Amino acid sequence: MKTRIPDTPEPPVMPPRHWRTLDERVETPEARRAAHDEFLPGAVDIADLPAPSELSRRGFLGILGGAAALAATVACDRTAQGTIVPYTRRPLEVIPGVANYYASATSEGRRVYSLLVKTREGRPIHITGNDEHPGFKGKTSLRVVADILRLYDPERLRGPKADGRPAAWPEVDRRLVAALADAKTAGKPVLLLTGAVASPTRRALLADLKAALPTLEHLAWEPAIGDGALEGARAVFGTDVVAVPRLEHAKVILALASDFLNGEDPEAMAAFASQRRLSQPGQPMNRLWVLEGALSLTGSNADERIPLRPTQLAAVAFALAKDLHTRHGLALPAGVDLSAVPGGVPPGVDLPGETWSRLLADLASAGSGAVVLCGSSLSGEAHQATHLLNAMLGSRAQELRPADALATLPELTAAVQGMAAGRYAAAILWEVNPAYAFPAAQAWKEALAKVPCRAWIGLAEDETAAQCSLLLPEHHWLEAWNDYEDGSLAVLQQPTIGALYDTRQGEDTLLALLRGLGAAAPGDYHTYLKARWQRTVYPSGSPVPFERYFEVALHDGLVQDGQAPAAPAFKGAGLTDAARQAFAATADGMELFLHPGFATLDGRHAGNGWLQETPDPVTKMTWDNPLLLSVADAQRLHLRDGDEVELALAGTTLRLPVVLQPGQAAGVVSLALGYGRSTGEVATGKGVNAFPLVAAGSPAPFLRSGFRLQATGESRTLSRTQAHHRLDGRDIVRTFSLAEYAQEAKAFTKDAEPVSLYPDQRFPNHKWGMVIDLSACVGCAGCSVSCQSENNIAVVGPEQVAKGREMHWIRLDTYYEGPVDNPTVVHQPMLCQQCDDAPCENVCPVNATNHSPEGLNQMVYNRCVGTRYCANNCPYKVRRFNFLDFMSDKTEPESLVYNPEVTVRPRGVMEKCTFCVQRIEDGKIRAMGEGRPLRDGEITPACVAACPAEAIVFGDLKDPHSQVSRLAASNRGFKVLEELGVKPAITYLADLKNPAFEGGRDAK
Amino acid sequence: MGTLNRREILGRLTALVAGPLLLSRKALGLALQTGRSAPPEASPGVQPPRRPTLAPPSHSVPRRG
Repeated sequence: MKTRIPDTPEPPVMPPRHWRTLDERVETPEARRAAHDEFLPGAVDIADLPAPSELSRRGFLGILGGAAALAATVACDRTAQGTIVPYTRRPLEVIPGVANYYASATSEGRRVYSLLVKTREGRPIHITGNDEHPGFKGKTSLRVVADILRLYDPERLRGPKADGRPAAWPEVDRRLVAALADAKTAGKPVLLLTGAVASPTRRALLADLKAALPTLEHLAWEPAIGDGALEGARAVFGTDVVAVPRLEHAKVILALASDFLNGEDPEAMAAFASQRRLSQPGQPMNRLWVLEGALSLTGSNADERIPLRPTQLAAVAFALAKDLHTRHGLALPAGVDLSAVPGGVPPGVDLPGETWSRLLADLASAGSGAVVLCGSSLSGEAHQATHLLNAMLGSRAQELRPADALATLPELTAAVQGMAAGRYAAAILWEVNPAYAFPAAQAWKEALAKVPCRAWIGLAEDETAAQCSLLLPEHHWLEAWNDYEDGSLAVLQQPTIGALYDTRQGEDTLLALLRGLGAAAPGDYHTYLKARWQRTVYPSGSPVPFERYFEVALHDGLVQDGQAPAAPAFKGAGLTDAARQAFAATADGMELFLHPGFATLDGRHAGNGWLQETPDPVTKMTWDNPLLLSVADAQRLHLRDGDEVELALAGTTLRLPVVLQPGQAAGVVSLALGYGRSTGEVATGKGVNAFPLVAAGSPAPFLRSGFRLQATGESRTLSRTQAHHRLDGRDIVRTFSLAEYAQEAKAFTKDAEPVSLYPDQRFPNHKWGMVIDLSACVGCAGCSVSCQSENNIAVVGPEQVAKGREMHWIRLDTYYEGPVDNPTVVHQPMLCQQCDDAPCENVCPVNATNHSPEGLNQMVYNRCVGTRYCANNCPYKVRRFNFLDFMSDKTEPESLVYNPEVTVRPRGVMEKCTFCVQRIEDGKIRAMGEGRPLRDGEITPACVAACPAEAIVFGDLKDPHSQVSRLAASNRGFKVLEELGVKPAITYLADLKNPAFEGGRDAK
Repeated sequence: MGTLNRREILGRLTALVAGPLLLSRKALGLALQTGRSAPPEASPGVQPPRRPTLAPPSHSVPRRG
């Protein structure tokens, strides 16, 4: 490390090697100032803060005395008096102060998540993955972690409604049963529209309902899963298929606009990262190729990334298959004829011949260790070509599982036409929101209005509920029973809290309908579920009684249930036509790439403040879905960040801001779905609804061209954090290719600690520290959401984020290196470094921040008077100030999500990461109670526990055998801003890239 | 006293009058309020409770903390 000497004159301004914004890249004066300043100019703008008083000291004391007298008088008032109820009838399983954990599960689309839910005094407060699950190993998706907020959503419907007025369950049941019975008698169809059915017991219940009501037509629809994925699988396998990556077997991964590292699939992320944690040069490392138009999180982790137009990817995939066959001798599956496909780089595709050859050689040499993954936004032809490539490679790095059929947009459109024609007697809409997410939402609304009986089952009234006469509020999944299939595992979902309101599980509604239609059905879904498990899952002849077996299954959350279903057979008869269409599908002009929102998915999470405020891992936008475009296109169109444009396509016109995104392919603009909701206080008005731009009936509904893009001349302030908290120093991130790593490792010597005038800190028992492996970290922000849940971190809203007042204790800094059209990217989690010679501690005038005997830089909130000196002195910019009262005005049910072990901070108080001191103390007390020393890895701060890539390791640096001590001595290790001599407790391990061409792209 | 200007004297007088007046109004209001026997927290209407009731789940099997 170079030592920074303060007295030396300022060196000439040199553009940094790693940059975060376009301003930083050329080192504008504004960018330099941002590096020096602790806060953004807007953060300390006092316009929205209480004005400084002009009172004299005497006047102030006078008012203080008066206020005290008034307060004392008002305190005698009994108006706001509550009742304190002693816990005389404590539920058996609740011990005050001790957390209970429930194994449970949920699903999102076709994905199943096995979970562990932490409850305190009967309240679920935190979600992690189930540690008993062999794939998840305690990890889960950040959207699932954040979904606990929906349980306590104050806008949840608290009881059934009929015709807009509160009603009782018997009334809504009677009306719905009567409508279904009439339909059955008249032989008229009843439409049941749901999300994907991932539960075998729900599937069995739907079959029972179909038997009792033969005119029932069930459609399962997932707006975020493109028709291309569905139709591609059907064309190749003759059935719906889910491709599950098994990346622990992958040496070479080719992602065609597939964002498999976006946080949804913790198994894939863990397996990917497990092949990138090198401790010595020469160890094997996977290689990730990404071909895509819009920079995705996966693309940002690529070893070789090639920006291409999305419509070209299907032709590229077929050409790869052709060349793998002709140049590398890979056999084509029986019945596949690619003679009409031209070999080599397809015409119009900007891909150097040498890169093409290297990609082919990589795939061919890896053979079954190679896998091709295709994004759900791509066309059916691209998906067919992907299945073909994997079949040719004999890939072991993916598992094909048969799946329940999902409705495509043409199938849903046919149902809408049926409704418009008066075909349906009733419609039941369960956990779907077509009035928002169906591309022709107006047509949907007009058609639904013609259905005589319209029932809605859901959590909070949405755009679809507004049109329904019967509203049947359902339990949140944390209050409900269910089960799921996950390969060879049967996963159980059990309630973790009794129902908060007068709601009912959706399946219980179906059981009520069954009984109303005269079929035999148990009184509740729990009984139905248990009966099915006893019949089909419980091993016959088991010596364990079923009740005990089921209890153990509930405790663990899952059981092994036979073998995984067999993969469907490959049928390639239609591939010739698909290849021809792939080469014909080239779009003129600019292309629009629509994709599910990172935070919102298809809009179902748009009301979740935690997710909305989590910066998008690539753009760092919060609360909005701007139009992303390349720097070259922006220059051509004279657009800057925040400029507003009008996007017009097929009768839909959207006004939205633009963001210039490094790495975006020229000629490609992209837009996230799931924003622009019109119901819900949090979701309304955040971004624009892009679903009207989806092309129903097209083989690639999420890829559009032929639109008009025009600047409106107006500009908006973006709630974007990419330029916030710039660090001032050198070598903030380090990244090596494998060849560079070999050289660095050979020359590696552990840096000597900088000399300090302060006496060394002493740590009698423990010295907590952390190691963050930048090579394993994919930048998904799962750590940030988990931290928010664990530490009661406030949501501040888009206006405050724009001023730089976001409150996250751990942020993901994204650095670019290289050309703006295709830079390499490094993600760096940045949190309090718990410095031993912390510059924040010695400036606090009230000793609110000080050093613990275990190396923690700790905050005493009730001492803090809010001078912000500490933040001013923190070189890492990780201290967060409560400029306004973000939390303490919250009431139940919102406040029920708070972790009782973490103080809720009021206005005027500084806060920051504590290494989850409450978990450290809990671990120590537990070990002391059991009379044993702490075990390495026993204490996991929330970020460590949540990281799917296992990039963060926490432990005791005083223990030389601990994992964190061993990793901290790694030859990739460095400390950020070590030259300042603050002795941070966090060691970062340099990012590694495995490029196909050593020496970087210049070597091609 | 001689250094005080007219505005400060008025401010003090206002405080002297307004403080006791407000305090005594509040005290009288508390002393003479009607229906003191009724529990003050009783809801006047039939609105559903805004605070949800927490109940443990039925039939679930927790893992002990």
